[in-house]
Amino acid sequence: MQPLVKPSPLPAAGMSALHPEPLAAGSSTGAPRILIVDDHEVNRRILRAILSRGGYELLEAADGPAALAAVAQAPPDLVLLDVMMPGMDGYQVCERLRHDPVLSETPVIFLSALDDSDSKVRGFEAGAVDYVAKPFDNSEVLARVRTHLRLRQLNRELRAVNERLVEKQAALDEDLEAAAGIQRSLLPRRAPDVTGLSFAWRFQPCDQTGGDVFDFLVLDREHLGLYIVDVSGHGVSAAMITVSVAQSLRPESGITLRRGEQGPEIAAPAEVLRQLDRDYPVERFGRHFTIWYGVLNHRDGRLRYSCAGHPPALWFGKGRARGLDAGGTIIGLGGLLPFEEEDVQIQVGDRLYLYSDGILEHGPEGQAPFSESRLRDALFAARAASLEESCAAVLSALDQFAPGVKPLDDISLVAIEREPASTPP
Amino acid sequence: MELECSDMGTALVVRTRERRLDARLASEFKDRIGQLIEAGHRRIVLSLAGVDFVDSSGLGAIVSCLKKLGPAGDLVICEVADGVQQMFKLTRMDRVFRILPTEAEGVAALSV
Repeated sequence: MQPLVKPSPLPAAGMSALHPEPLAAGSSTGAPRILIVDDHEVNRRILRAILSRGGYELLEAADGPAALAAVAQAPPDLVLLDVMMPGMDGYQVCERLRHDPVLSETPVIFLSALDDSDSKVRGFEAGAVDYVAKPFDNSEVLARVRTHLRLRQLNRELRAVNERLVEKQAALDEDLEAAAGIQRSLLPRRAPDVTGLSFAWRFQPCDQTGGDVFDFLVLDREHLGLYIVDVSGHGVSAAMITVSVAQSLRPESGITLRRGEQGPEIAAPAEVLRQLDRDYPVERFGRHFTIWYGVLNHRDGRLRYSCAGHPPALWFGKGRARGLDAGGTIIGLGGLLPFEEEDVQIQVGDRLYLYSDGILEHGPEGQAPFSESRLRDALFAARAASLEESCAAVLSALDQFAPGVKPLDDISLVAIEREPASTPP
Repeated sequence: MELECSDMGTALVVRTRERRLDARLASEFKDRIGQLIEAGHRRIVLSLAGVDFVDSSGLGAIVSCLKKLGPAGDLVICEVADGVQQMFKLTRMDRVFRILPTEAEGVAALSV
């Protein structure tokens, strides 16, 4: 620790109990350390006598420079500081202490024969915590010292608790960042390598982690699984459930692609939803989720799908748009409603959009939200633009609809377009 | 949160006066109604008068009440605002529990 000031060239009058190396605040015995600063030896003796009853470790200094050297050497828990001293007075000493980053918190009690209000105010402005008039009242001095030592201790404890809290928060933030990273890794990294289809997508979680997940599943050489999932609520638990559901839907897990007698069989969408409904009852995690799941044959454009309480996929064909909404209710109710399916024929040039309700619900509070009609309008307006541009157009429309409003839910959008078959190699 | 109950004899009417049934209130809502169900109420009319927004957490709370009631119990919902009705329709929850316009009709539906 740097000393505040070079030790006085004169022999340090009245310095006692000094150690060659700086001591930590608080003596080795654990008793609070008090520094008594007064140019009159008789006063120092009186204060020593008063304070000896408190079991404190007592140090003395006879002038300003000695006091500053003493605090640098052995930081006290409290300083009793005389105001009227030759050379550097008490106010100056106090101000120096205030400016030291380590010692600025040390309580300073002024001692003075000057009992007037102005002097007291000046004392407080210099940074003292209290002011005791001379001649000293013994009990008063002891009581004030005790009080301020106690306050100091409480402050220290509070600071320690705060530091631990800040550390914990930093660790939590790191964990959250890691969880967010794991979630992002669940999303498609690149478009699946299938002929006849092009893809685009956007994902904007409203917090670091999200409750939405979507992916493309290569089921066999002709069939692609498409899904989007929205887990209820927010936070880490919703995020963890997205990981679990994404895992369940992978072809390797045996739900979207079953192990049949004659080899792997593609499960029908309604069957997938029924299995998920069995595996994720609401009681399991206290949450439910919605899902839109379809199996698309990218060779001939046939799509079979089912929807569990999720917003309908939007199918843009020549001149018309349709919502694909066949299905049942949310996953987790144990089959209260049957999951219906529908088969449709996606033509070359048609586009399919999957999304979650974060888009529909976006808007300023208390006003009508963005809703499906605006989504359709934005996508229809962008029908001649590229697939990527159409996704950007939706995000832009959301922003224009509610400028500056932060979405309260995840924004997810998946776009698929059926393209003309490329010439065979 | 504000929750009012009226015991109609044949059914218990529960009114929540909150404007939004969302993640902030969902947990408390679920617990409070859970307590009513544990106290023996099996036929509940849930009035959403004054509620203009229910999100997935709110829906989850209603669903858990439904599940807690079990096959021996019944839950109907009434006084549903348009925006909330939209959400019920989207999730097809309007086919899972009955939605009636007014409390009186709700109570009547459960008295059959």
